[in-house]
Parts: sequence; structure tokens; C-alpha cells
Amino acid sequence: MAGFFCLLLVLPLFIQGFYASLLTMTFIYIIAAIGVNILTGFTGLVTVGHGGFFAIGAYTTALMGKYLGVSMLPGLFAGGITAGVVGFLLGIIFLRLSGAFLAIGTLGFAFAIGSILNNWSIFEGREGISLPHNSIAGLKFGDVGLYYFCAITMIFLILFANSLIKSSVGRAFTAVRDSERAAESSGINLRFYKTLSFTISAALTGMAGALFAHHTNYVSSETFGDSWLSVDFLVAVVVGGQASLAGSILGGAFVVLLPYYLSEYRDFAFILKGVVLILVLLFAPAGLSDLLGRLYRKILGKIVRGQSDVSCNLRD
Amino acid sequence: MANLMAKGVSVHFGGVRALSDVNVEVPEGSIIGLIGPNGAGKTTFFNCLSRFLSCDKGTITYGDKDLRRCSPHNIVRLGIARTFQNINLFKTRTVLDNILIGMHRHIGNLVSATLSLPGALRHERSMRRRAEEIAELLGMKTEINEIVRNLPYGIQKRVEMGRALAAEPQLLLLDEPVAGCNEEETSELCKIVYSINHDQKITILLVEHDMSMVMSVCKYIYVLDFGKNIAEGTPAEIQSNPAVIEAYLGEQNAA
Repeated sequence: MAGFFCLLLVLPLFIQGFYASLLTMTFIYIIAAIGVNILTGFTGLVTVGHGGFFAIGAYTTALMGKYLGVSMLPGLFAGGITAGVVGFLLGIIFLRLSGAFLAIGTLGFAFAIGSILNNWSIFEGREGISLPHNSIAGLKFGDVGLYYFCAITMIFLILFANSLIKSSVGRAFTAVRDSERAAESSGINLRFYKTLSFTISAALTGMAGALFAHHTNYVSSETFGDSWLSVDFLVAVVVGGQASLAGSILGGAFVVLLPYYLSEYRDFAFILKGVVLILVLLFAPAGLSDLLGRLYRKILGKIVRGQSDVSCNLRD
Repeated sequence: MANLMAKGVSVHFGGVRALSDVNVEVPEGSIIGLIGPNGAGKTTFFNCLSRFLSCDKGTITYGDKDLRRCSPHNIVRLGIARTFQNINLFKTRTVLDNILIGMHRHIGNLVSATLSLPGALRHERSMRRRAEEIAELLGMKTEINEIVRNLPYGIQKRVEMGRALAAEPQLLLLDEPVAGCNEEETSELCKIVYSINHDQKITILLVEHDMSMVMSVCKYIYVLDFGKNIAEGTPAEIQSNPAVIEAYLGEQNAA
């Protein structure tokens, strides 16, 4: 993992501005996918509405930048906190829902956000809001600067998520997912942990949204009112692997890079995404991370066995 | 003295009276048996104790606490843990994880745990050591890193018990701990249950169909049939009680 992080930090030395910008977009989707994964993968609450939190994060930093002249870093935190607060409230409202009902409820939330963006004048609908030039403490950021900003944020959030899911809090999340009865009789307060998961999940996705706003320097209801955003995040989690951080990294990369490399055949990318989703659900329900993990162990096993054969021969 | 007292407990589901006026007392330090034919209401009674069900009438107190005012996740904080008849485990996780989740009561500081601060890591290590001790006590130390789903039924039953023990309860409610186990597993679990009570001073309320276990382990037995108390007494008294014999043999005749 450390090697992967180092690679990300030296990569801009070798790639052009455009690819740096594409990778920045990938990091943003990875953060959002991790947010969705905490709720859907680890706590077992399916959400099709995280595009709403993504939008809340983006508009928070956009409005603060426009009216208050706030820069990227406070904008990022403000986006996360605002989305977290809305996530907390929504978590309480949706406590009694689970499964398909929760999915429909969260989808409704995403539609509501889209509708608000279109109709409340402060959000300026399809006209959109342009952000001031990206800067921190007066220092202006270009593509590569933003790449580093997003990469470092992503690394911090991956480390945070990793620490969270390995802690007793993460164990409580999976306990709620696996058996509510057994979790309760072990003293786990279902309401508290479901709401907590909703809050953390929404905050991460909100931060991803804030980064997105700075990446495009422009927010409008055309991008953020689109419920496909929410579906993309869920696809990233399912294809990458539920309850796996490596899965969210793979899944985030999948939903960003696939359409890009197939951008000449627009609709085809769309169809392929669906086909891959169905194939993964059929043949690798635990996602790509699990599939690659098994493949890796198989190859490793073969190499180890090969080596032990060699050492046996040597002993002969 | 923290005694469990259930007085006049009644529950009905629609028109079906699952429990009517059930009285059970579990003094601290004892092993009390609760038996009865299928459908007698034993599990319903357990669900009332652990607050998955609310009783319509009657009182349930533990020490000076009124259990009817607790929510299910607070029961374990009073020192009462339970197991489930049809295993209710976190099946995709390891035995160790299951026991660790059972220790949730001792979670400590949430923020420090989430951020893996040094204090939380130390706490985590001590929890792991304790979990290993519990696994050893239950004779499943070699299986501690196995995924629960892949383990044989008899071991899963023990994991269930391990999860309950991890909460360090003063009162343990066991719902058919040996159901579906073979003779060898049963006799081993008998020894474990006895040692939990005798060595760790944990009070036990045991629901069980296996008469050999109940008669050998329990000091006092309550018998339910059709949701009512029909008898209570020492194992010897129960074995010769005509009402009990009728409840069990009557069922056999009908079959």
C-alpha cells in the first residue's frame, strides 16, 4: 500500500497535464466510492442517493468560494461537514428502512437535491456557479497542484477508513450488517451505529464533491442533479468489491477510466458498464478486488510450490 | 444480590397466548433449567428477558433494575448475555472477530478507537488476549482465525457461547446450547457450562431439550407447557412429577 501511495506522489513527474487531471478525477471517485462502501459494503445499507451528498459538498465549497472568498482547504472541510450533518439527519429519518426500501428512499433524496438545485435561485440552476481560481493561502494551484491536493486528501481518507474499519467501530458496522439480533444482544446500539455510518459515509462523499467542484471550477445542476452520479458510485462499490477498500479503489478507477477510454463510442461505454456489472454480480459477487486477490494467491501459490520443488531437488 | 425475577409474565401474538402468568426466579450463582415440550414458550420467554419482545403483563427485574425499561442493547450492560437457539453469528467473520464483537460493551473511547490512537491499540491488544482466553476455555483455540461459516455446527455453537461470554456477564441465558450436537459434543459442552458456573461464578439460565444435560447440570428446574408453569423443583422431583410426565408422554402419545 505504501508503494502505491509513493507511486501516486511521483507520477506527475512523468505524465502530462491532461492525464494528471484524469487521475485527479479518479481519486475523487475513489473517495466517493469509499464513502458509499462504508454505508453499503460495511454496514449493509444500500444507498442510491450519494450523488446528493456529492452535490452538497460541491455546492458548499462553491457558494463559500463565491460569496465569502473561502479557499480550497476550508471549502473541503466545510463540504464534508455540511454533507455529514445532512447525512446524520437523513440517517435518523431512514433508520427504519432497509434493503430495497432504503435504496428507493435514498434515490428520492438524490432527486430532491437535484430539484432543489434547479429551482432555488441561490444555486443558479443550469446556469451554474463558477468558482474562483483554486488556491490555498494565496498560492495558486494548476492541474498538477490539484492532483497533489486530491492525492494527499485521498491518501489521508484511505488511511482514516482503514483505521475505522479495523477498529471496534468498524466491527460494530459489520455486526449490524450480518445480524441485527446478535449485534443488539452484544450491546450494539443499532440506531447509533446506523446513524454514525450514514454520517461518516455522507461526509466522505461530500468531501469528494467539494474536490470535484474545484476540479471543474464550475458547478451546475446539469452535473449534480443527475441521479446517474449516485448509480455510478454504487456501481464502483459493487464492481470493485463490497466491504473492501482496495475494491473501492478499483471500482472508482473503473467508473472513471472506462468511459474515458471508450469516449469515442459514447453509448457503448454505457452498455459495457452495465455488462461488466452483470458479469461481476454473476461470477464474482465479492467484486474485482476479491477476484484479483484470489488470482494473486493462486499465482503466488504456484511460485512458492515451484520454489519448494527446486529446493527439494537441491537437497537430492 | 442480583437475582433475576420474572413474575406473572404474559405475552400474546394476536389470539395466541404464548405465555400466560409465567414465574421464574434465578438466584445469583445458580444454574437453573427451563424445560418443556416444543412450543411451550421457552424461547418466547427468553426473548422477553432480552427485550426482543415486550411482555403484555408481569414484571421482570434483575437486582433492582426493571428490565422492561431497557432497550435490547442495554440488557448486556446490566450484565446479562444470551445465546440463540438457531445460531445467530457474524458468519462471514472469524471466530476471533465474533468474540471481539461480543466485547462491544467494553469498547472504550469511540474517537480514539476510530483513529487507532495508541491507547485504543493497547486496549485492542488486551481485548484480543482476552478473546484468546475465551476461545481456549471453550476448546476452540485452533479454530480462532477460521471463518465461522466454514466451521462444523458443534463449534459454531461454542462460538455463540464465546460471543456471549465475551461481554463478561454475571448472568448467562443459554438457549439450547447442545441442540443438534452429537453425544461427545454434548458431554463436552456440559463440562464447559458447569465450569462457567462453578469457576467463573456466572449465573446460568438454561433452556434445553437434552434431558441428560439438564438433569446433570441444573440444581433447580422450571417446566413450561402451553405457555404456563406446570412444575418446578429439583431434578429428582421433576423426574417423578406426574404433570411433567404427562406433558412429555402425552405429546408422544399424540404423535
